Amino acid sequence: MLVNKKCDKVKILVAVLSVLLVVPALNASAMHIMEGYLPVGYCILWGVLCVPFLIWGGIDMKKQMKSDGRTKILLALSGAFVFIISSLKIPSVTGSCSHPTGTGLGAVLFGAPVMSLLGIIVLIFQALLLAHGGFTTLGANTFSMAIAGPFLSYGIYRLCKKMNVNKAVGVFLAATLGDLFTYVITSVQLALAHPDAANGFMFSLVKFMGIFAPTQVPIAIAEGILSVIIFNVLEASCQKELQRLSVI
Amino acid sequence: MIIEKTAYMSKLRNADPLLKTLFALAFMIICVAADSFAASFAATAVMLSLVIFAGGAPVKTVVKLMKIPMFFIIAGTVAIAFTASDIPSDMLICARIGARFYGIGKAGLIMAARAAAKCFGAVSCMYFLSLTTPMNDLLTLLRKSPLPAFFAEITELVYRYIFVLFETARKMRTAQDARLGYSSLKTSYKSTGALAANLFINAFERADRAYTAMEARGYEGAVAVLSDEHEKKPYQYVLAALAAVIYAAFAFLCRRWGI
Repeated sequence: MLVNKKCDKVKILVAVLSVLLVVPALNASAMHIMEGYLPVGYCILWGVLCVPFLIWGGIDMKKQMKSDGRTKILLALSGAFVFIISSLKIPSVTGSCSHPTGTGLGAVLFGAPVMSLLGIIVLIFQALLLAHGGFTTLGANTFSMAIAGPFLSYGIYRLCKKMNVNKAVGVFLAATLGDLFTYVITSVQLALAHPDAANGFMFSLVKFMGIFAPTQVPIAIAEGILSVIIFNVLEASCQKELQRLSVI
Repeated sequence: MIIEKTAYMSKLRNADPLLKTLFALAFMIICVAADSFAASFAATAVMLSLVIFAGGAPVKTVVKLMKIPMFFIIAGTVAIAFTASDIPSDMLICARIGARFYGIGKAGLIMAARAAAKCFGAVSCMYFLSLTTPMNDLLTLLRKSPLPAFFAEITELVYRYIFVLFETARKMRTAQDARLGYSSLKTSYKSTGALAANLFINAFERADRAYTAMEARGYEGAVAVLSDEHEKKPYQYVLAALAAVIYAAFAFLCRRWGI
């Protein structure tokens, strides 16, 4: 039984454990792919995929602005609101702090197409003001965080409403699953860009999902809980505003 | 926000924002497309020295900012470098689980290091832009761009309100903290939720008031803004173009030689 001396189960155990312990302890932000991490081809591909959704959002926004002059300012404040929400620290179980995306709640409040356009604005500011994400990865980040996540959140919320599920449960599911979907899409984007040389895309996908799971799964649940708390307060104290946004 | 503050104090602040944007984007795209160690290091070196020596940004700030991508890079490096193989000689460290060997692969580690270097290079290019150009200048560019006018306008207003809401949120947080709102995990959640909800109500009311105020001042759907004057020194354009061309040639050669 002479296996290569370098190959030691203890070593790998230590490596895996240290990663599992160290990664969540870092101050984790939502899953922005950093500047420069994707090859040029994928930067363009994800950017192009975003365009139809952004145009949809733009048409929606214009329509709303025509019907009520106030909408423009309201939309701007909503964008700023999502930015601030995404910079709030939520205490996480591992002792570190993490940031929610805020896009799930945004999709429930403002609708998914509008949220996607607000999302790209927020992402631009996050890249420039906070150095989260970047220009070359703007397309990919927009697709995962401002389109895929919000559209799923919005769909789930609408579905729950139709099926007369408890509103709090609907909001929780919308925010949590939207977050998890964002994380899955980001992992897909990273796995496509960096496929494992020997084992291909699927193996790579499992790797990326595994490495981000310890931070992203708790964030998703925390964001779900937080969204419910926010929504409950809003429902109790500003029925009129929520009706104007046609949430209720 | 430290990036904005540094940008306002930068000595390159008065240079043409369009030139700075194109310069940063050119380097960024070349750096990403080249996918080489040498080209990435060159971009990092050029951009950071411009920020520090020409722009006068404090070294401490730059070092602090360069740490921001670290979380992502560490996680990404581990994910890319981890692999499985039938041959243990492909691996640096590995363990046998079942019939295969799992661990850090040699090829994967090089790939991950290259991605990390590229990330530093591209982030440096972005920092060059964000640490020398105040947001107002960039928003002016956006307004002049072919994108729809309402998009630029909403972006401008979002930028303005980020600071307004940020200040409100900070005050609320201090007040909550003073009342032991963040003393345990449960109260932290409750406080954070209440903060966000009240911020939303606050934003809603503020939007109404701002609209009324603007309408009273003749608002008809467009906000007119004056833009700053910028010095347009010809030598800067020549130098920037020259640097970009030299860098493109350098990156092309690096890619060819595989360094």
